[in-house]
Amino acid sequence: MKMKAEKGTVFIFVLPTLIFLLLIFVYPLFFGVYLSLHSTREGLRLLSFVGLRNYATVLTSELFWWGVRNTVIYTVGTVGLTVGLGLAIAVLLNRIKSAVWLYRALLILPLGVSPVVTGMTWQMMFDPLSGIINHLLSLVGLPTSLWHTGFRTAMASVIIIESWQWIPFPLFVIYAGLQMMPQEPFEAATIDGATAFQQIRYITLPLIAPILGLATTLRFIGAFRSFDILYVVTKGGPGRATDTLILQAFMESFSYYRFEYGLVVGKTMLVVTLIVSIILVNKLTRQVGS
Amino acid sequence: MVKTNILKKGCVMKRKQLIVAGVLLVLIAGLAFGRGERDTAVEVDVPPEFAGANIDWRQFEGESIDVMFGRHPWEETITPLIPQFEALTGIRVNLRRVPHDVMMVEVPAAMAAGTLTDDVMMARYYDAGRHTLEGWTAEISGFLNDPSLTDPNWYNFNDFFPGARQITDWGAYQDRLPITAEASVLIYRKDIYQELGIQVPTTFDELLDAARRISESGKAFGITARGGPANWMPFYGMVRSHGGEWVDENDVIKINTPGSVAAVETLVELARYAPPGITAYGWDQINTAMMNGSAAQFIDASVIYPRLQDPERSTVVGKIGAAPYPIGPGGRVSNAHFWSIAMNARTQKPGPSWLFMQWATSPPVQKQVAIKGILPPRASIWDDPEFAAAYSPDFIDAMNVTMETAVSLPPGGERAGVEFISLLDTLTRALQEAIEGEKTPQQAMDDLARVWADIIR
Repeated sequence: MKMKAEKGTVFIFVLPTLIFLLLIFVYPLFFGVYLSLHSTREGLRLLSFVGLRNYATVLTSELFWWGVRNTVIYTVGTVGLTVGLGLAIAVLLNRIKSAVWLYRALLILPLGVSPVVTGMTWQMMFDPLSGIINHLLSLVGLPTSLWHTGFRTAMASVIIIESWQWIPFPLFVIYAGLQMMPQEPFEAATIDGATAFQQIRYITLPLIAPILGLATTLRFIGAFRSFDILYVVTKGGPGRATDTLILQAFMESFSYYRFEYGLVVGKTMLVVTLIVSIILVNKLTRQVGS
Repeated sequence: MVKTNILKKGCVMKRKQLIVAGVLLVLIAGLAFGRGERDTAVEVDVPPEFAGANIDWRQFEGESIDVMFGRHPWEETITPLIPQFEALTGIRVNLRRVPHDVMMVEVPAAMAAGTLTDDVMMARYYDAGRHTLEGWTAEISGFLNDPSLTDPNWYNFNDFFPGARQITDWGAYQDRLPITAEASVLIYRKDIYQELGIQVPTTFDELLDAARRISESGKAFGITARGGPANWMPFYGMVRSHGGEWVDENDVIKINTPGSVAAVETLVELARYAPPGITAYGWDQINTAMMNGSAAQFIDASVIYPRLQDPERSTVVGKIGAAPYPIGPGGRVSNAHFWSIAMNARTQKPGPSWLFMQWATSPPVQKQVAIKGILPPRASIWDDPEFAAAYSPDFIDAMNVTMETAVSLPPGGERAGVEFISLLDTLTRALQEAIEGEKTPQQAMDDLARVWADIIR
């Protein structure tokens, strides 16, 4: 009896949050699906039902698949860079004995900067004419670059910027994992004469694999739908050199006012994120279980 | 006993800190989200011309309206004049100024959601198609023709340039009023021309030649041009001057015809003499490249000129010359542009909002703004000696000659209708591909024509 009453009370207390979530999350989700099945050519007040035609139009367009290509490059590039460099720095940081607090404080700073500020700052630093990066490169006799303004260098440039911003995230997740690792296997390995590299390869990596997986999953979700930096720095240009799916979804909706196309791209991205996340999380939990 | 005292003291401290933190939060929130509050107690002189209008300016006394401006030279110039409106009408203006990019994103999103709370806002005319289709902006012809709200003889709507009148009615109904006029003209460094013995170019061939000679001299980059945001705008003038067109009156795509492709070739050639990275250049970067002396000329928006002559910003004051837009194989056809303001259809205060729109576009206010550097869409001001005195004669002459034949938008593209903006954006990207050498001008325009055909169906 008591349990039942408690359950009722719990439900009442959770209800406001539930209603709030329904309003701000579930309603737009379904309204978005509804809108994506209609044409807005005659205006939002005169929607006409077109079934899956918008999906067919978008998913068979060259533009969409170009966006997929760019999104994959951008996601793989930034996830690889952030997790790879994050891991390397975390391992180094874990070995530092003095003034660790200083390094920790410095390394977390990029996460505290707003992506828009990050984008604008790098834009200035990358400026081919007056930016500091080309200036430094020319000082040491290296070739300069068009960076974000060049068709062939824009993608690498935005990947560098996004990675600079997000390295601290996997770095500190992995660092926390390293801090919690048992010391015995390392002591045993040292006695057996294992080198530092062998210790990393055969002890550290297997032990922190689940954490690495977690960092990768979260970074994947972040990078896949990353918008601010791309929008500030290139808006998908020059041409369509850095045009990713999220930018297409945004431009279709708010620049071209083709909300239905924007939503098709958005919903497709949602499905992809869900599938990839489920796979990664499943793999992760299985690893942890074993 | 001692322990409880300390505890109590702790509590008091915490409460104090909480109060201080709360006050700070409210202050910060006020700073971050509040609208600009201005001191209305200051005595303001209302220009005497307003007494000449046969309407009751104070019929909405005591009301207040919310106004949103995007950051823009016009906005910087008119904002200090708003106390005049408040003194004239007794209507309080709550002004919100947002970065241009934010405005471009926030307004359509809020309009679509029906949550835009501003009564009057700055707007682009080529958004009129969607704005009027959705009924987001209020129809203004009723206000214009209501003698209790507008004195037609005093307001003199027909004083606006024909192109400016056209943009008030570019959508399904009349919904906006022009606030600025601009056209691409040739702006150049007189001193560099002189040193190199360059005659002021009158044709595109001469312009290319001048750009090449300046670049080769090493004195500056030969030209600066838009390769990024809204590069379609100055490009439209180039296309027409090369005998090309975007879309003709029958909605036939002309962007890959010889005249249009020749314009792209000229742009690509000019870009060779421009600073590296012009695919990121909008009007602001052009402005900067001229102000800091790194580039020697441009053919772009006249709105930049007054800034170059402003001693507080520019390092090239007094060295800047202006000339009419160059002549191409298709004649001298520059591109004109007019910014506008519109009223939110959901406003609860249409009367006060209309008075504000009328005030902001009235002859006396547009003249005050014009003298401070914002070129006016009203023809009468261009003949005003006070206005002419505020600029150098070569600039006034350049604008007068250029405006005679300037055009705003292609005759066609109607069928693209509400998707007209996607024509512009895809054009910007195609031009970037040509500038970057990823595609030849012909290839880039052929590919673009196919994309456009999908849009104009």
